[in-house]
Amino acid sequence: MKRILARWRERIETKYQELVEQARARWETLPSFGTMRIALAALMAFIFFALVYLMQSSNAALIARDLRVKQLKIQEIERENAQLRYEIAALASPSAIEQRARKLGLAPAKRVVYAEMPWIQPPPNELMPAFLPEGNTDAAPQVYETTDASVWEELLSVLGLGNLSDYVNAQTR
Amino acid sequence: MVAAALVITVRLGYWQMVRHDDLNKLALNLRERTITDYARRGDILTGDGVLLATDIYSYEVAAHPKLIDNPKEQAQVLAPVLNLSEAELVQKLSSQESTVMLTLNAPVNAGKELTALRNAGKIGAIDFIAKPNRRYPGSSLAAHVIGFASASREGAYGVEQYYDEILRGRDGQIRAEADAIGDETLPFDLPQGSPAFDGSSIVLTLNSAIQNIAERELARGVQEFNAKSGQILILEPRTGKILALASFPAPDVNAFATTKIDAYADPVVSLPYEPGSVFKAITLATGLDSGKISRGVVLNDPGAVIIGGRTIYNSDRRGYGNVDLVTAMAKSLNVIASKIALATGAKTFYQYLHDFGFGSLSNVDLAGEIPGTVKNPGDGIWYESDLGTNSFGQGIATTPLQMANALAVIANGGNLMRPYIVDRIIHPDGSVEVRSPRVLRRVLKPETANAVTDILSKSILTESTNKANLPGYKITGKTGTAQIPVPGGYDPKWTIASFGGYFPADNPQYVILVKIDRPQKSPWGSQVASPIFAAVAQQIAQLTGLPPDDVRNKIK
Repeated sequence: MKRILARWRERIETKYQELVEQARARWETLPSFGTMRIALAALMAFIFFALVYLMQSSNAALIARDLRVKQLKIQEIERENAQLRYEIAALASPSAIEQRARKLGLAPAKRVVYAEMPWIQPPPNELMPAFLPEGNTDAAPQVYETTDASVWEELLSVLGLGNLSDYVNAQTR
Repeated sequence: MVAAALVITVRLGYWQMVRHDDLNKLALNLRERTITDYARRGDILTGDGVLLATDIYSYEVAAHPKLIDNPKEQAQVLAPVLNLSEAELVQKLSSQESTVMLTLNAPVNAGKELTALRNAGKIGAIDFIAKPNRRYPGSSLAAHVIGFASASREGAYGVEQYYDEILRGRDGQIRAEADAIGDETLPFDLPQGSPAFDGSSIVLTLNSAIQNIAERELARGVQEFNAKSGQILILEPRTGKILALASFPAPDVNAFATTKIDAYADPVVSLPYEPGSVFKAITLATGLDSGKISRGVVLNDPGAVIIGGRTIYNSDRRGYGNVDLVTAMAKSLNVIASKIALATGAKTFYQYLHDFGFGSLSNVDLAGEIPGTVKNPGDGIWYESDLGTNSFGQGIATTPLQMANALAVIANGGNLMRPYIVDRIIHPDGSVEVRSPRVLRRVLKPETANAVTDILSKSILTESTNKANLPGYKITGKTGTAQIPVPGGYDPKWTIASFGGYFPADNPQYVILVKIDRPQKSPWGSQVASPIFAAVAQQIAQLTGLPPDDVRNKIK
């Protein structure tokens, strides 16, 4: 039994030695310079991707910083804008305007005079629709009718713009 | 050697893998800081674009004295920026505390200047953070309408309270890299977290010029008649828009911290009063609309009438014999008003009062509205004599808004509108929510409204002492001189003088209620409130270009 086992062990060891020898022989047949090249290429690729990554991430960080600086600047400007809006509103409030107007010697009108202007007859519903009874506010003509165009005719001729009808036609064409 | 390397490796592995999350959190806490990103509270503007409320920014500035080597030099640089004295700053910067607050209210340009000083290395261990503050550019303009937003940015009173949710927006929380002290955020990366959502802006129905006229004339009237206070309310009858709402005295809204809180309660919606004879316009309308009296009726005024065992007299204790409705209104006869209410009948009369909106909320979009009090037959506290007294505005509690809105029913051909003060809401995304006028119900027939307008217009013309008349315009209205209820009866000395009316009578554009509380120079509505009405109406006509009646009739 012992002898059988010893023979098997011997066989296995021989087989193992053969396989090791075969692997060593194959390894030695591989071009050694090629292995170095692959390793070098892998290393370079690794470095390349690492550099790209570093560049990208540092670029992203720079852009983020720029954005944040701009955001903060926008916030600052918005705050100043809010302050200016407030100051303008305070100066433009009705009581402030009234005070300044009074200092300038202005006062509310005591009497309003309505003058009749027969040469211009604007359609009433276009002039003051809010103050007319309902139903009178529609169908407002687009062009005011003038009963006397001579003033305008004269003005246009002085300006060398021809007669009024030509001018109106040119404007509405 | 190997053992030492092994120990280090194991330890590193423990830190990197087992304790990774804990340690990472600790590190983040050291270099990151969560800051509140304050939402901007929405603006409040008048209908014509005048800014009434807005947010401005100021800086909270703190220092870490233990890290400051040169307090004197820093104080010298900081003093002009923070508007603080050098001595005060030196004292604070030399403190033994780890952190001291230098100011809560540095001006908005302080941020930029402090940043520049820090970048130049002139200051250090100074932190500053911007915070929004509510400000009101018009100071007391429309103060009671606006209310205020407190330091904690919560709306109180007026529109600020009613629309708090809409105005407020939502604060955000952002995480950002901070400096070694942990207070200054550094621009290393974009901040993370939830951004703030700004509040929506609100455009009111108020017209700033009309509001200004109302406030100016009210202040002048209250001072001229040595009155305690007063209110003016101007409505657009066709829509229910509130064009002006003035109360005097008005608080400076910017000084809310030092003003008594009840000064902001708006008497126009929150303070009931007995309207007195202005209410006769309503009684007249109920009698005519119910058909119990006609336009041409002549009623007998013996000088007194007994209702429910109580004798009701005219204010001058005189009898005027047979009078028509125009005379009854011109003389403001309590006896005739009581007779009209009697003829109308209690059930119908009170039904009309409720239809007019008395005794219930108008649901105006202002905080603090109260419903007032109208007693009803059968509710246990109503007596038959109440029918008489209520007919001339006694024993009934109404708010100025309810009274003006009831007059607007007559001006508007009989329709009750929901009064409103917010015309539109502008959301941060630019979308606009427009509020439309809403007819609540028809209270009077149009012909009744016209008849009441006609009677009241004529009655004013016949009153030689009434100062409400406006040259060139036919106006409609009624004076009121109301007693003030006190425990056990009525105040023997003081009155509330009022005038409620509208113009132009043929096409009402403006309903104006003037109410003056406890005038000393004269107790009468016709002497105190009427001239204020006329002054306001005249200026509105000029402002809006409303031509006089004869000019308008020519155009028609």
